[in-house]
Amino acid sequence: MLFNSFSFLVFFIIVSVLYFILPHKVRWILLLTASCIFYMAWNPALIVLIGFTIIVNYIAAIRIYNSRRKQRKRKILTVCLLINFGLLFVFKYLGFMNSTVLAIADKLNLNWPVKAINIILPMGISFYTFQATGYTIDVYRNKIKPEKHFGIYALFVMFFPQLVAGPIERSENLLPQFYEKHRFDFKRIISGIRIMFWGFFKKIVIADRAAVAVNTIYNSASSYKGLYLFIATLLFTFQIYCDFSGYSDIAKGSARVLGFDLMDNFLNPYFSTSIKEFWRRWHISLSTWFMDYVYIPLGGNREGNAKKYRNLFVTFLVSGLWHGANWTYVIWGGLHGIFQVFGQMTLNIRNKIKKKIGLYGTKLASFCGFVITFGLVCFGWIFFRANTASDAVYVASNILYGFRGWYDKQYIYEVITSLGLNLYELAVVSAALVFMALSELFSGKRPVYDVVEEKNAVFRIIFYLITAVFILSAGVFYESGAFIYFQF
Amino acid sequence: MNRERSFISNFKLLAEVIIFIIAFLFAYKCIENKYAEAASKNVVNAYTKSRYDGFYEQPENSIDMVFIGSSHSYCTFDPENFDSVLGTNSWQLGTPLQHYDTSYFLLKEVLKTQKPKLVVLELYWDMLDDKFEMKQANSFFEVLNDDNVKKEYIKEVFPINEKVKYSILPIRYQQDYFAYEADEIGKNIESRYGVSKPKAETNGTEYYLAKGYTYCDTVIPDSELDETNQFNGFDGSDWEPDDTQLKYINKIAELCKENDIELVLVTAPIANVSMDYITDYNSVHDKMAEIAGNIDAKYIDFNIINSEEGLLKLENFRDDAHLNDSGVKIVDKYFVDWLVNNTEAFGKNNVM
Repeated sequence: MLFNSFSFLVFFIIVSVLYFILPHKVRWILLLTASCIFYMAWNPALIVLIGFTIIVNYIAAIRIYNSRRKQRKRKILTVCLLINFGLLFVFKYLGFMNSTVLAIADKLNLNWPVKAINIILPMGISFYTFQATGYTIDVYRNKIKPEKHFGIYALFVMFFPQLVAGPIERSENLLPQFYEKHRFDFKRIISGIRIMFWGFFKKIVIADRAAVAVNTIYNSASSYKGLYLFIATLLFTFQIYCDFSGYSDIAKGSARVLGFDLMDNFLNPYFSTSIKEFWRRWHISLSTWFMDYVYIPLGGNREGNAKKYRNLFVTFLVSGLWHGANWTYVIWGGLHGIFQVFGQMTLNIRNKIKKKIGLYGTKLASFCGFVITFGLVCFGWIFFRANTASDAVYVASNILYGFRGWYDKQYIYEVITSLGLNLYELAVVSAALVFMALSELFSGKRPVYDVVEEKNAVFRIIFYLITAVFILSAGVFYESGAFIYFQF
Repeated sequence: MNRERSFISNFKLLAEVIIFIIAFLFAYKCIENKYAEAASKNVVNAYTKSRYDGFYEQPENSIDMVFIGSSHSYCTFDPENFDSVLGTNSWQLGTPLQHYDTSYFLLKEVLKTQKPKLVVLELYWDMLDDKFEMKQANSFFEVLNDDNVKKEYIKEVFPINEKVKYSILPIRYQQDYFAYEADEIGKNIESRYGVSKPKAETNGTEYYLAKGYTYCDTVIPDSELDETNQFNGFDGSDWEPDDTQLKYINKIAELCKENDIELVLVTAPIANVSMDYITDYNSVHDKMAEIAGNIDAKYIDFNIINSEEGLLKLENFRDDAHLNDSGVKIVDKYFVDWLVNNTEAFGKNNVM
């Protein structure tokens, strides 16, 4: 069930009404049932898989907690992680690994018997596997006690607003909230609806419209050069952000309507002034997950610079692979790893130079940092979006082709009329992007909706009226796409 | 004290929400008017409009045969190729992406003024496997005269979510408005800056000819041979028709039976290079032949005929899925003979 569908709207209204009618002690049953319906609307059979993950982690956490010996705790955790990541591997990476082995065998003229493995990718598997895994590790680390109530634990893994694309919630944040009594709170409900509004605006006004141009160019990338690739990459930069952060906002808003607070997943990341800062503001729930459960266990920054850089690079490489079973994602992760390592290695030198020329701490330095960071992030997205690694290399090497001719009016007009969007659609996307960028710029490092919430009533009315008019007049209601991150 | 403060704060918020709703409704009304006005000026499918304008001008009960279906119908059957041999008056009534729910209501519209002896329903797998498609419904509505047929169509065919969207005029007319405005912006830019849109690479001409047929002599571009070929990735092995479309094919058959009309099902040919992608076409063909068998209708599949008899070459296609006029002539000639040999309406003894 897509957030941007009529069925979700009906589903959500029914669930919300029932939620506030029912007594607190049975609300978890309603939410769990709703979450099952939400997931099964896509593929009923795969509920078994998520059910299995829930049972394994539920039992493992209790056994870890009850075991006295450290060794036994570790053994149970290892088995649990093997099952979690084994399932993830089979459903997400087996086909990819097989096709890689097949390609290598072909090159070496060897005969590899398995030509193709086509296994359906369960929606949200990477998200719920990570959430469940994080919980079990937290129990192992004695950070939290295991949840004894099976229904509540199942709901923690399956809570429908964040089930298929996050935020990947931490047990200590979400689990206690299922025990809290959420009363009907008009203020909170309106605030939740406003967050959903903002998410819908980003998804159906910007992301879905930009997707048309991006797909037109990237799906036959080798037919285009120069400005075509530049605009498509720029549009993808906003598409991926609006698609994913839009989802997170709708998830956060719908959870807030019901009385739950999910973590902020994006904090206006494109205004970051360094790659390090970008990752503090982009997909925060995943970045912090990797920090806590991969980077730190690898040694973090405790064992000298060389190991710190290695750990950083490995973490980003794994993060790339988490996104998808394709070499393009691995390269994307690797690129960000390199950006990070390079950034940290040269930090002192850069600061010294900035101080020498009097730029350190100035607005100009921040602006330069923003431009460079944004450029690097855009460059990374080429690898994320390209259909194949060779397409990505083609785009990267042809994106500035014929740069001098970009000033030619006729050439610009030819490009903007060949993107698959008509001129009015392009104008609408541009206007929406300006509105979003200004809103984020003035919000600093805080979510736009939180900042708007603090303004006076007139400001709020005008702001959400503009958002609503954009949605109504320019939202993509037909052929609206699924969220990109569903595939991860 | 706290309660009082909370009440006042909730009251303020309620007032804010009410003001927002009023302002939004006002904006809604303005957008609705603007979009509806643009939609009334914007013609999305000019050829389809000409096709139907011509049809509605025909005297009552003057048409003997109608061709209905998707672009595969109007890019394959030129009524004149049939009328010149059979001595009939036939009409091409295909609409873009026409699905079988639409074909059914289209036939109802036809039967209000005409009583054809034969209906040629074009059968295409890509139109058979969808539950509902909005764009093609809009193309049909653009040329539909009878409001009652439209209401019935919406009531019976539209899924509930589409009904809701359709009832919201800014959503319904958005594409029309955008297309209209884009056209205006384009004209402004072109006149102000002296620029022009890149001319579509075409090696031929296209224009509305007569009896619903659009002439086209373009030859398939090289790019559609492989990289942008729409059938790339479709091998046919998993293809299944959708129940809704099957239901409407049955209803078309019943409607024909009730009105004593002979029904023929035909699959138009796609380019030979496209067929190379559909390695399991037999599976697709068998399922379509079964559909025809279930309603007891005669069926001819020109992809099979073409592969067996080599009727068509690449230069007979305008793109990867549609014939150009040279191909139309070849297929129509074959089809006339087939109609004479296989139908009661135009069987040898009944040729007009």
